[in-house]
Amino acid sequence: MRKASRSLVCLIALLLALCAGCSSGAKTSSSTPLLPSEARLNGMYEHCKTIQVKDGSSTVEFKTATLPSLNPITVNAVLKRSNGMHINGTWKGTPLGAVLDSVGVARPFKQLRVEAWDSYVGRVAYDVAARPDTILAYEQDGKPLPKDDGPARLVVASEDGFFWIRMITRIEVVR
Amino acid sequence: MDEDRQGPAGNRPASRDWKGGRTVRHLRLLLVIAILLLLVSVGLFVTSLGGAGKVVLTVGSIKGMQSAKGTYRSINRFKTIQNTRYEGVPAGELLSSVGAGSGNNSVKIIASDGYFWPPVGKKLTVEQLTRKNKQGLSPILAYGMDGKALDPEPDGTGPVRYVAPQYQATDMNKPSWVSNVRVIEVRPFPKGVKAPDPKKVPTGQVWIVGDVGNGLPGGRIAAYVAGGLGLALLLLVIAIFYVQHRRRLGDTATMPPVPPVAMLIALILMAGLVLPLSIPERSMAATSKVFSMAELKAMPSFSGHYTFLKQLSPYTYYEADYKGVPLSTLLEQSLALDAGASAVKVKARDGYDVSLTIDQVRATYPNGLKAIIAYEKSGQALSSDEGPLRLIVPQNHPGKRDAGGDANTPNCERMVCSVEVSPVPSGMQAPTAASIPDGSCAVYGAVSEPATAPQPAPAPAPQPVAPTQAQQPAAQPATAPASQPQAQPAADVKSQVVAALGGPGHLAAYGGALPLTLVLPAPLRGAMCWLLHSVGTK
Repeated sequence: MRKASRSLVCLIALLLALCAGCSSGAKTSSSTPLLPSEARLNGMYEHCKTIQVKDGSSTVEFKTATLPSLNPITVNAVLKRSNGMHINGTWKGTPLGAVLDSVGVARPFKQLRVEAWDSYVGRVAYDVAARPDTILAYEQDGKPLPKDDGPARLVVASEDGFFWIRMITRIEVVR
Repeated sequence: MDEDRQGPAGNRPASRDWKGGRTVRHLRLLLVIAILLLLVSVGLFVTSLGGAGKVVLTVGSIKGMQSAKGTYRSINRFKTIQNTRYEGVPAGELLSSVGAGSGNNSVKIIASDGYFWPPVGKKLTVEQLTRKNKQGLSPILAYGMDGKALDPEPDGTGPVRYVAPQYQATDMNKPSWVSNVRVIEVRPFPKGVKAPDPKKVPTGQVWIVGDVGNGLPGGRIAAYVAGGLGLALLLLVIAIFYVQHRRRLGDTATMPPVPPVAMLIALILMAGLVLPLSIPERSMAATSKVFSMAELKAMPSFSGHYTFLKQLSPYTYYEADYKGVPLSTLLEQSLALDAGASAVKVKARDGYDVSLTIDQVRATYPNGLKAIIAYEKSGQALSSDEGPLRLIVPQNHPGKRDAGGDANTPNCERMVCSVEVSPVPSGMQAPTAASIPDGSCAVYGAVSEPATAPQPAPAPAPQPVAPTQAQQPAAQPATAPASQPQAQPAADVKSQVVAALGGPGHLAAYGGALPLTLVLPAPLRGAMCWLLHSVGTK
């Protein structure tokens, strides 16, 4: 009887483990033909480390890695998305005006045409772009930006989320 | 166990004789059955935990469903207009097919980065998701754009994107589009279901979480069966105990008492039963009335020349003649407002609602106008896209925008189906739009029957102006009793029963505990019954 009860306990334990294994296995079993999103993210992140700045006929490359050396400031702002979500945060980065100065863009201009990795295009008027609290941010709340925002993003404290372009690949100066 | 204490030497000789051998074989058989039962029970329970309140769709399975195609026009906050051809699955039908869509369900569509729709403070129902616009487009979960598959982030807006059509040419509908959809929440959540982190949902999957599953979905059935099998297991253990006891003491032995372990398990199951019974019963308030179109038309009517001004550019302005029942007549003559009534919310079939103060309800506006529930426009019944009933709230300052007019069209709500008077008594449930016949209007909340009976409605008068309404359900004679008990939709009853019993887990415990009372010794059983009764009637 003792043997029987011992083997019973063993059997139960074994089968419980099997159950657990099956149930957790079922969740991850489905696969998709899509690229793993991690690989896609990495590709985007690497690409966005260089922003093409086009002014007239000349195109200059801006490396986001140089942002910390360009007198960064911190801005407390609220990211207001179109569905009413409000995200409070502290962003650290260089004012957009200073970034453009560093690559030799002459002021004033009419507007900036900002292109993102996912082909989103936003237009930022000169008045907004030149504000001191409009920054090209590389840190959020003391940490690097979330990876899916790219290495740098626009933080436009004076405007709502529409202007907060992320995954920036190209900035075109419109005069 | 007892016989183990006697040691193997004491047992073996007994099992060798013919009678003892048979008992041992019985015992082994019972043990095997017990193990099998335990396994099935545990397996089912695990399945029920995993499957409850969650449906996992893959992009592949979505592509295999009945698809819809169309060119969706979008306007964003900066009035950028785009026309894009999308292919996808109708969102409302998809949700209905997985069992969502009882009247109280609200939907939230969430992207991988946490963006969601509907916006903060608004509600989106499954019913709204099935609404088609004039071009026949309804919201879809799109997987193809211009004939190509949508890429997942960060390259694109897919693999699944929620795309909603415009219902009016000026609708700013782009913010409602959700790229990279990962999670669709269907509230209210059943007990034990938690909102998943959309970041953790793998690319290529969409999780529909919450109140999904029709009637008794697989998960719940599994929980019930697990409970039942658990009970059978318990009985078997008791049977094993008896067999052993007889083996030890011979056939003539008297029946032993139930072992303490079985008693303990019974008590735990009882606790599972008692817990849900302590949930207070929800009372349905009686202050809920449904007025049919005939009843509304029998009330004192008001006709007026109304002006309308839109809130958004291009600030459309127009004038029209409407006829209907003043809200004040509906709430204060046909019914009586409770002393504490603070506000009125007029609800539409599509989920839109308009809140008015009591003063706005009672007010006489410039040119002697009143806020009305209209049923006629220029002598004609309202068309189905604005009627059969429409709330009309006059302008405070009549005129166009340049003339200082205030925008009143946002308050002039189409397709009115109910009027809620705040505060709604606790425990009272709002009637669902589906439960109110088209052309009728429910009034509920802080209202009651008037102290003096309302004047008996006049005999059905011929209506010379209004043509017969196609939408009106079998026109009830105006002499029908004014108050009709609110029919409770079946779905609500179901959810109430499950809620009152504390969810599937407790139901399983209930199923297990009830027959177990039969094997309890009589005095204990009596005590249990008394306890259950006293808790249940509290």
